[in-house]
Amino acid sequence: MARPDDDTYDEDDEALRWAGDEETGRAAPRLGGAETDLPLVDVQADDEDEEAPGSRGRNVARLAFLLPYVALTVGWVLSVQQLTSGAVDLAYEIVWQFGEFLALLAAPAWFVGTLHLTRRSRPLVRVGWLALGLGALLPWPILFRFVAALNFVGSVS
Amino acid sequence: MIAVPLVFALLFAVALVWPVTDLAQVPVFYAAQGIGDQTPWLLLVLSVALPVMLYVAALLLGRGKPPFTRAVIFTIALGTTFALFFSLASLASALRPVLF
Repeated sequence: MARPDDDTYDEDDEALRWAGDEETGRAAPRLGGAETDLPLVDVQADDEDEEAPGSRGRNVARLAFLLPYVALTVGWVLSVQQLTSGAVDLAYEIVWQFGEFLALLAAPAWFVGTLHLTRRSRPLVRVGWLALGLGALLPWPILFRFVAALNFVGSVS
Repeated sequence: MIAVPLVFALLFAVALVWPVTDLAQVPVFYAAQGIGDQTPWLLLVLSVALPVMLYVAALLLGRGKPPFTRAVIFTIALGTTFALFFSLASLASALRPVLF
């Protein structure tokens, strides 16, 4: 590129221009944000402010299922207290205790795990997994005890 | 990558200890009491099958995922296995005929 003879010549500006830019209407420097009209910063800010698709639905699902899962956990705490292995062998008793510990953790683990694993999924997927966990982890040992107690009270009165 | 499924295969094998013991002993006990025809076969078989099914499900769900995510999925499946076993055991107790 030929060096202009006038005093306004700027090497930085020249480095950002290509021969023929004037003809194609792109005479302005292509870099150097202050001299361009491109709204780069604004675009980034818009992206940050915008919610990810479905995030509202996922949050609603999380809040809606929080209380039932707390109830499940409490139910398993009560259930574990009702369970007895009846084993005389220490190894069987250890396995039983290990199982009780994991059964206790199952509901909170399912809830937190589902939230973690479905953070980019559609809201319906999260709802489906949370509903499945709710059904699978019902604390039947304490529910059976509760029903039996109700039957007993009903038969006495 | 194979370490996580292997470790959890051992833990799921531990989860099979009680169901397999029940499957072996409960029918004998029922038969000895003269009520062998009331053996809860469905619950006994289900309690043995569930750990296997949940292990396979966790294995398939975790395919292609990072080891930590796979471990989370296996842990949830293992906890669910024990919770379901206790539920089935309590159901069997509730359905058990009064013997004495």
